[in-house]
Amino acid sequence: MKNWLKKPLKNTKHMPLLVCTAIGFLCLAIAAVMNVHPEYRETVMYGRHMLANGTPDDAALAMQTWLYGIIASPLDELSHHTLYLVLSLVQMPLATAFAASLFYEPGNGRFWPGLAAALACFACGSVDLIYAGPKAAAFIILLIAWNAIRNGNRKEIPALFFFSLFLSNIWTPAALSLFSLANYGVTDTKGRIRRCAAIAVPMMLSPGGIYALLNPELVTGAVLENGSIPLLSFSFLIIVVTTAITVYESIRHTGTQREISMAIAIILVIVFPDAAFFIAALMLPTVITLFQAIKAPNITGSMKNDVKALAIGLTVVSIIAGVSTTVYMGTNHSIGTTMSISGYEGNASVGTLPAVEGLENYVARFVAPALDQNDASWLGYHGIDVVPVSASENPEEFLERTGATAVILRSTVEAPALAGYLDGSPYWTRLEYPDRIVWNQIK
Amino acid sequence: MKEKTWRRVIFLLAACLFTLTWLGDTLDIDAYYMIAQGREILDSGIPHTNNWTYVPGLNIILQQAPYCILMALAAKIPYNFGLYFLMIAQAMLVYAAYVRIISKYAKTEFQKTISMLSGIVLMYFIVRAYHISLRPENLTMLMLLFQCHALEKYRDTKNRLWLITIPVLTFLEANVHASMVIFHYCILAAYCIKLPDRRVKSNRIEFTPFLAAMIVLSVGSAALNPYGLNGILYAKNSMGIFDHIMMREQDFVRITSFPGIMLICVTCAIAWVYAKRRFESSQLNLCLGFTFLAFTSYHGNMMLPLVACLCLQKIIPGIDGEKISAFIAKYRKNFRLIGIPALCFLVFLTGVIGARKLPSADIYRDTWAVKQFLDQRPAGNIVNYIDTGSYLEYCGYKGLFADTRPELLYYKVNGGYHGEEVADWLGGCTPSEFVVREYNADPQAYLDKYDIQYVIDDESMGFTGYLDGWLDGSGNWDKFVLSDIDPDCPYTVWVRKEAKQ
Repeated sequence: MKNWLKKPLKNTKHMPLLVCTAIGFLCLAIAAVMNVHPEYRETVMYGRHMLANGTPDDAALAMQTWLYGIIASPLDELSHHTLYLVLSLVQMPLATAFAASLFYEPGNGRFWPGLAAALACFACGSVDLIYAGPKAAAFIILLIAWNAIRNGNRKEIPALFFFSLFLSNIWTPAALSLFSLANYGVTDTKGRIRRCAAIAVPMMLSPGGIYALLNPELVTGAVLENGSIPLLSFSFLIIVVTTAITVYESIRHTGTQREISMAIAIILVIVFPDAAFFIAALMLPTVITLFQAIKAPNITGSMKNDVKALAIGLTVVSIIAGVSTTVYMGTNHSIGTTMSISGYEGNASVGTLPAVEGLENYVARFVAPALDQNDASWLGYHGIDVVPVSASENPEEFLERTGATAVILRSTVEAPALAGYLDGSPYWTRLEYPDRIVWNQIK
Repeated sequence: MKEKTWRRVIFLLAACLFTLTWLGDTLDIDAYYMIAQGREILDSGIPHTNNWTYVPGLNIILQQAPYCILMALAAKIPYNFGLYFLMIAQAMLVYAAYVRIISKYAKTEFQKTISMLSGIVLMYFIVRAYHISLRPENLTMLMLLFQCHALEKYRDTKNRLWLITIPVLTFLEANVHASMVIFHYCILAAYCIKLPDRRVKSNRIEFTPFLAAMIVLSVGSAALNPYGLNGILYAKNSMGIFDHIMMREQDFVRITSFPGIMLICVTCAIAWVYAKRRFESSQLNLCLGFTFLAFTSYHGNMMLPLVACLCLQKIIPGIDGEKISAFIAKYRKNFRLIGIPALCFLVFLTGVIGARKLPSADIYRDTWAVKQFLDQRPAGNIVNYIDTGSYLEYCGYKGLFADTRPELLYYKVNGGYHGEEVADWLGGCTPSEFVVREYNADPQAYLDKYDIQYVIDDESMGFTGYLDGWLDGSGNWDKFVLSDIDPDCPYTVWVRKEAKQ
């Protein structure tokens, strides 16, 4: 056992990175098996729709991720859902590896980069990035971009332009993160303006950017609706911790450039609705700032220390990854009880839907920010119309407007007034399924 | 008049101005609840049975009984002037306490001036966070601050008399706001513990037998409240209700909200003071503890001004305002001639405006139409949301489902009735075992059992969403949308068909 552990450690200086990548891989595999994120299905659905009929009704979302959608949807058809698993198993380790590579700087030692990579992996996992989808892809591009643009000189402007262009079309809001990262370490104002322009121009020319410019009310509406992060959430905790570290560091050390970058990132997090992504991006400069301030321990001399450090690191990371995955599943996907590696069809959350009688007639579902969109994306993916029911809509008017003859809800809490109306009315019958309630109209 | 006195007068006037400007034209719904409870106590003594609900024989705990009496007495003064002055008096006391903390290490006139201005800004925050209304939190805040002051005095003088304040304050707190007693022990802990951090200088209080005796005594004195141990454990026993009923106060603060931004600012201030190595152990503990509390709920953000005070206490002595001080000194006479009369006039003006508003505080605009609607109909039991309950109680209605103390619905507080599960069910969750057992998961069985004649719910944020739909579908209830009668009223009332007139 000792030799088994000793040999690779002796010969591989990237061992911590590899181990952490493997952990990232494992976390991802667990998450991928447990659930398919609705955003992946949505993106593929929109991509398919765009290839067949042009822009779908929900243009705001489709435009943001159009490139990813039209690349992924034909591949998804070809590989019949296994693309998801492949993508997720490739994307996340890549993200972890690139995060780690950012920490390979003289004096940083060998342990810190590995641990930092693991922290980045944890951050990604905790903020909803452990899945295949446009956000994960954008995150990797962002990490690659940062590697390419971190010197702060003029030669990097074309690269910035290119990365902004690419990111804007994969997931438009992600390009905003570049403003924060691109200004990290830049000292002159002109240089900063040039770099900001190199990011802003392609972003505004992307379909998502054009859509936002033409429909500002929709974008600001989304910000106001979804933009606030609850306190005591992991996201908010990160914001507060990073803010505190930034202030603390800015007082202890000279130089304000990185603090400006951080301030931009913090503002982005506060203002932008889909803040989770930016939090992950925000974590990286903060972690680097923190790690640069700490003198890395010299662990190269002793193999014993290496093993100790790795063991500690692995234990910490395993606990964090385990807790993270559990919290992630517990908060966002509490319905998941039965797991299957076969992909979507085995997903517990939508398992009974195909068996429900009357599905082809009509499906009504309450879609709220607090609930995951598994049903909606699953049904949409399979070509069934989904009508969102707003909580405030009068049930009688809703049924009249849609002409529904069958209603399916996961629980009455999804649309209480509608459920109450159907239960109270003598013209509807209620059927109980293991994880669904179905009402059929009595003809 | 001395320079110091002038400055105090000016800033007290300015603080008055701020306070008066922000007076609303109605009372906070909690105030209606407390006045109603105070009247009940004055009529029949401290209650142990809930007389407001339609479920018979439930226990009640009034964690703010003396404050309710004070409110009811103040409300007896015509045109609500009593409430008006009670509000102002509390605001001014809190302001004075804040300024005292902030200016503790201020040396120059300029620093003292900045301290007073900072106090006003913090008062603005409290107003925004709705704590300057008639709530016992104001008294709690004063008592917590006095506890800090007493402990610091003891630390500096070693005079044991200051420690006697511990049992006295816990006794007062247990009677004014029982659920907050625990915070006095948190403050004690902050002064007695030193975190292992070499950057922070220790100023902790030595743990002596006398201090231990006082702490033990304080536990006993806290139990001297109308509900004994149940009063002290009220917070612990009642928190479970918030898993079922969402109240803004208990909800998490949003980052884009005013308290959320304030929290970021306070975090920055703590980091700044810490980096400058100006914190001593007790202050750092207090700051971290109170900031954590602010994290936990919207209600906890009342602690943020206190943390801000502690940080400002350390920041202000480092401010050098020579140039500004010289400028002020140059125009001091002019300022006195014009500024003070102008301020007085503004205070008078806003006071008059506030005084004009307050007589109408008897009318809670949102629920006024509900009251008018019910007044015209026969009395009957009502299923209602917490927002409407307090005002209806204030207007003399009984036989309700809930008021602004939804924790009284919780079985651990009321002695057995699972009001929280009923609320879940009628709001839209799947029926619990209790609901299936007691009412066969049938809303009609529940409504008949308690002879419910009216159901009141908010149109847009339905509290009893499932029940609303059920009433619509059953065809046995008439629906009245009150916004058709009064555009300010967001409620809908369902009336049992037999009760229709």
